Amino acid sequence: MNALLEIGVEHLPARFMAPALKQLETLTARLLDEKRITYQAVYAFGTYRRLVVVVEDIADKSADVQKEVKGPPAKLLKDAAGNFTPQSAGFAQKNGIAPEKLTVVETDKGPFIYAVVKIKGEKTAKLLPEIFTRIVTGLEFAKNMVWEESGLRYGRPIRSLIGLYGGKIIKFSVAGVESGRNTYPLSSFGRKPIKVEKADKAYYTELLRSQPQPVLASPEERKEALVKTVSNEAKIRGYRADLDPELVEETVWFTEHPVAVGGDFELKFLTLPKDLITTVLKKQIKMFPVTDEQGRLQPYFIAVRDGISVNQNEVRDGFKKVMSARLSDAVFFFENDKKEGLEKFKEKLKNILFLEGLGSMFDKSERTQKLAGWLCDKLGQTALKPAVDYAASHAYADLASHVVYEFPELQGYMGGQYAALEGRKDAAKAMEEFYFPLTSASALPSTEEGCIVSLAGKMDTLVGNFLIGQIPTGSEDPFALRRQAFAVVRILLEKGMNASLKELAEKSASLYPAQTADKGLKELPGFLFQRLALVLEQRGHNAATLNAVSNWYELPLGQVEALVSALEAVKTGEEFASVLEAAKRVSNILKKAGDVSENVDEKLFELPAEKALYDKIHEVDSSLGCAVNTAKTKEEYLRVLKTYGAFKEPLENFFKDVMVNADAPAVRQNRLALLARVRRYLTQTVADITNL
Amino acid sequence: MKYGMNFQDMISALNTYWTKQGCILVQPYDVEKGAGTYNPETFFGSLTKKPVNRAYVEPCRRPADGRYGENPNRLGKYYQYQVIMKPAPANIQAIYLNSLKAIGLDPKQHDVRWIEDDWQSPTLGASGVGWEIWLDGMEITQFTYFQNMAGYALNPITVEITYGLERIAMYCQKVDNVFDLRWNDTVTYRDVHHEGERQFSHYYFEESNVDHLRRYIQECEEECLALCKKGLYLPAYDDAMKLSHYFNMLEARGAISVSDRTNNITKIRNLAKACAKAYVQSVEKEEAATEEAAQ
Repeated sequence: MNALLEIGVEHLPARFMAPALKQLETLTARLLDEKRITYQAVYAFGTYRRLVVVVEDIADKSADVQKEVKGPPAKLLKDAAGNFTPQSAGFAQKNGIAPEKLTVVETDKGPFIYAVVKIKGEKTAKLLPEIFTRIVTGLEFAKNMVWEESGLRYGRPIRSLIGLYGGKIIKFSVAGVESGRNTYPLSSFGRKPIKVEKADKAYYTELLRSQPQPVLASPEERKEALVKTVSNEAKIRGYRADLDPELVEETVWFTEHPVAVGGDFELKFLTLPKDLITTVLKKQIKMFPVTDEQGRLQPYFIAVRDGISVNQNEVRDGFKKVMSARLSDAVFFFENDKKEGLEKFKEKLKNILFLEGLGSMFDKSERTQKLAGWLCDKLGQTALKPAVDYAASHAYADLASHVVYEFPELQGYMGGQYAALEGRKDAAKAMEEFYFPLTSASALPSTEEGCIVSLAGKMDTLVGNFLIGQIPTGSEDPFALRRQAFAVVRILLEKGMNASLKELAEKSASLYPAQTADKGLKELPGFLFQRLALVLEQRGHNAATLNAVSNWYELPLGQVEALVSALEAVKTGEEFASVLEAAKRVSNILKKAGDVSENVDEKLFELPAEKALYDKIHEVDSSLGCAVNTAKTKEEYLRVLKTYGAFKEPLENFFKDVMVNADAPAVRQNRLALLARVRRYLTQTVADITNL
Repeated sequence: MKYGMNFQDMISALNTYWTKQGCILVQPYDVEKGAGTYNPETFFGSLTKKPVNRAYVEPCRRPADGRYGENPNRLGKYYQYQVIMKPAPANIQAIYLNSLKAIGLDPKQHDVRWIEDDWQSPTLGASGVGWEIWLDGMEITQFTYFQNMAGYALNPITVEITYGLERIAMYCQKVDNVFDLRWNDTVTYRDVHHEGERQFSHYYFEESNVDHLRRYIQECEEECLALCKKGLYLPAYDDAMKLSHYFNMLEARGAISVSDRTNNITKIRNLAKACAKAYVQSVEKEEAATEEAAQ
């Protein structure tokens, strides 16, 4: 047999739906397991007005179980006369068994009385009311409300409940609603009950699908229907729909039967920037834009309504009117913005606060401009300087525009549009892509100047936040500093920029007023290190290798990655592995020894192994010469790291033949000094291999 | 061709409809306010356990939204139709949908959408959970289950339904300019309100006396607090409403800085809280007295 639960609710917000259905499934499975009821499968599905879970092939009773209950110590089992003591008899009675059935079990704490209690399985029909009640009340939503006197907190009011086991109603009640077998039509089509006869997924979905006003209960089916109906509306006009995945997802969750209504809008609106139009359509009125094969926007919209009606034309006119009004607003804002221009917006930034105590966005623009200019020089990109200079100093200007005030998601994009209109095409792309990458994995700014400007803006934001001690903790990261730090690392690395994080951060900090109180800038390197490790991991490295690169902060990131690659290449070699072991041993010995000088006196050598090790250091040192200091590429690093292998034999012999803790203090100090020299070579030449 | 109901017939239809649902028709409250929620019926009505069912038209003043009668969609004064029911009936969504039918909008013939929109009023210290309701893509109603009022967590819960009358009428009558709305068969919205829009815009944007307004605000605050102390929460609340209106006027005049704004909002919220507290205390006293008498 199957069981079915339907929670009839008033329109749940679309964003609540996916998490709610996921919980519905896991919670149901968990409660069935807890009650020891076996089943074949659990399916959660539904719409924003009905959350449904079906359990297939559910056992008709829960499993029997045997439980061992620990009682008093064994000595209390019987008294001297061989009778059960009051303690043991009481314990037996409490557990519902005869005292004769008690057993004694040896435990860590000595022998104890145990009662073996058999719990009989119960009928599923008897357990379901509690299970259903707990499923309904156990769902959690991003935001809750109260609507009736029991005070239950829920996403939206519960108005009906169905509990079925096979064909029978399971009686339970939540928040004053009694369970039954009735579900209801689409919200605008009355409250005439639809009787659900049995607990069956296929039957239930078909029952709702076959109503005069169909309801598509399965989200997958609804999505398919949505994509089809929207695509068709575009196709009959010879175009295609821009099926934005976010809007598709949202629409699936706020309709029960998506039906496309297509219409056109006046050509004059097409003079607006493309993203402005699509943002109005998608975000403000939740309509799908239409494009040609090449992705060029067409003067059509496709709205989605919930259900069908006889009055499609009037609905279309309504949509058209609303859309037209919203696009007219957009034209109004855009035209006003064009009249004012970027210079005026930039002026207005003086009134927009950046961070408490760190001045305005105008100040931030100036710092970003300076930092980007410095970076340009540093990278030798002087040809880009005019574009970088303009883009950086106007990157935030659009925040003061009317359009961005209305549509914050168009920040950057609009700045780029206005720059192009004002004849600064050279800087437009960099401004448009200033906030790139928008997610950790998405594209970097497509131009070199864009990367420089974007990097400068982000580093300034990071430094500013750390200066005032606004450092992300746990899940709290309101300014998305992690993402920005991640982007900083990606740009430096992917663009092979010849600048280290340290010099960038220090230059950025130097641009803040000297009197700025510093409440946490020292935390920034550690924060950047974590992002760097993540980026390297995404690029196929083992993040832990980075631990061996002690000067990661001072090196251009391309070099850090080269060294990481080199370390990964040598690390598994047999010779290197043995040196690695020895190096760790050396490190440990020295750690215990405390302060040790590196002054080795050859005259104090007593054994050949000491001399051999000493000579090896000199030999390797002189063979590499200055290669150590100039290594930048993976190959160059490899050349240095490969010399480490030469220490295998001398180190092995040293540890075999020499006792570091010699009786004579001078000899002991000399041996420690020799090890200190080795340590320096193995930990400071290019990397600290003891951290591998 | 004549589309839709006349403006006044729409109001009559809503009155008739909500009367049938057990609401009493109260009349607009005679103090300026920015939204129907400020009406004492709603503000005090939502606070205690006593059932409350009210329907009323509420003129709302939004000084900054005035456009001298020159903008087809913007008004400095407009009308809301407001319904509050406590406790909220279990079938309130269906009741609401039927009310649309009463004004000639059959939900079956339109696309009615319930879009998440959690209302809050920082000045009243109030918040609620609900939707804005879209009719063929246009927002026509705010539907809210109040959760807090003046800082009090509410129980039982009041449902508030706020219709944007002009917008709905424009949709029904298929007109693009609010002033073209038919009030009845011979008189338009223009005839009734255009001159008012023009004059009040001049007043709000150019003529209002900033010094006077600041003084009024101070006087209202003093009086409100003094009256609260004496348990006279009704006149005290009038002062809070007036203060809120003067504040909106200052804003329209561009005489409010960012920090000024925050301070004033806090000031109004504190006054609203003081009024609510005085009211709740008096109701509790009353209940205690009734109980004692019963014993």
